[in-house]
Amino acid sequence: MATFFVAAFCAAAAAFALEVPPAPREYLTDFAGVIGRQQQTTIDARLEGLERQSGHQVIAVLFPSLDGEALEDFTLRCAERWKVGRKGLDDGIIFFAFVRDRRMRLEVGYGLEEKVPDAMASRLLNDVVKPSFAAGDFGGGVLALAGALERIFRGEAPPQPPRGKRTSPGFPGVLVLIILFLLTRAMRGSRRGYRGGFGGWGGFSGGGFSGGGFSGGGGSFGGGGASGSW
Amino acid sequence: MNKVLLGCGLVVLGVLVFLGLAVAGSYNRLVTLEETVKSAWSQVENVYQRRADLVPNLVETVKGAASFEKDTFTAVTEARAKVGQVTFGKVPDAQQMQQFQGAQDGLSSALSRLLVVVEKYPELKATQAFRDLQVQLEGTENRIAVERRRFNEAAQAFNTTRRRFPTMIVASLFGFAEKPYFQSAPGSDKAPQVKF
Repeated sequence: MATFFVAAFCAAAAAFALEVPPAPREYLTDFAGVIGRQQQTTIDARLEGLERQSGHQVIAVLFPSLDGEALEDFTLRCAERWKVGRKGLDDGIIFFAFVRDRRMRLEVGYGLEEKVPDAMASRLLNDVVKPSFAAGDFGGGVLALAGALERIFRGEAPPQPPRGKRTSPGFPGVLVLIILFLLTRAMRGSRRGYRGGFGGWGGFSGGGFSGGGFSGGGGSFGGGGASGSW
Repeated sequence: MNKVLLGCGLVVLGVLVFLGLAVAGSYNRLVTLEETVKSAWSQVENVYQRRADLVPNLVETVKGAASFEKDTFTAVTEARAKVGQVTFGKVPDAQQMQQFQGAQDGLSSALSRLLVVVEKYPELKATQAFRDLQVQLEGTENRIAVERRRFNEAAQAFNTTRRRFPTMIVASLFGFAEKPYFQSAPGSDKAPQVKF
């Protein structure tokens, strides 16, 4: 009986407060369930490629709802906890979307504030992502964002991290954490057939992947980026 | 007799060494925490400077469409000049912090008045130039909030350690001053409502 009440309470608590999820293990984490499996794989590969080419980690996380939290406050807490981007270079970008609230934000790490200043982040959200999202095509929106970021990052050699410990495109830094965060951890465990996706990363075993997960590279964020809605 | 003296001497020596190490440990802790506060402060000044740097561009953009609103422009430019005068470069004491916050809050309210004025000119609001500026302003305000919070956290860590016993003895011995906090203005958690 007691267990029932405890469980009910926990469920209720979880429903009313949005916690910062633990660091994502995938590039794209879809807690809201709005992107199809096929498309997820495509987006994942795209972001991974982006990381490989540019060295910058970009991840995306889609939540069902903000649950009354303050947007910038929540996204910054996530960014601080996940530490996307390489340590010292701070070159991480996190795309957040909250589907029911129809709000999104691009959290840009300290190191990318020159390449992706606030005005550019805002344009990315309004011109690149918004049209697709407004039409209900969430996967397309994230793909378009990835493409736009590719274009922005291209044309310069990936900067070498100060420590230079990594050999190939380092994964610590390349936290393409497009993490569509699954709102509930339970969902994450059972619904993702993502284990299949890890097979694709097997080839990068030299890159420091342990079990296909990815870990924060230690990048930090200062509140740069832009918010938007659709 | 000599052995007793020697024994006492060793004990005293031991105690002194222990005390010396303890003092060194406390001192080093305070130094580390203080350095964090200093770097947090310089971040704070950076982001506030960033906001001040946006002002001339903002004023010029709005002037183009709303040249009659001279009072508002003057207010903003003056507020910005005031802000430039209260840059300290080092972590301020309580009084300096009040001056700093006062000047920055002055610029904040002058800026909100300017934005209220812009509401009357929808064609201006729709221009890409203004929208970019608005995004930059929002981004800067967000950064300011972040760096203020981090500064307060660093200051709190320092102040707490400084006040603890026995670290407080070391602190007063070596002159570690208490760090001030950023206060949030009453009602500042509500965004200004723009109604017509």
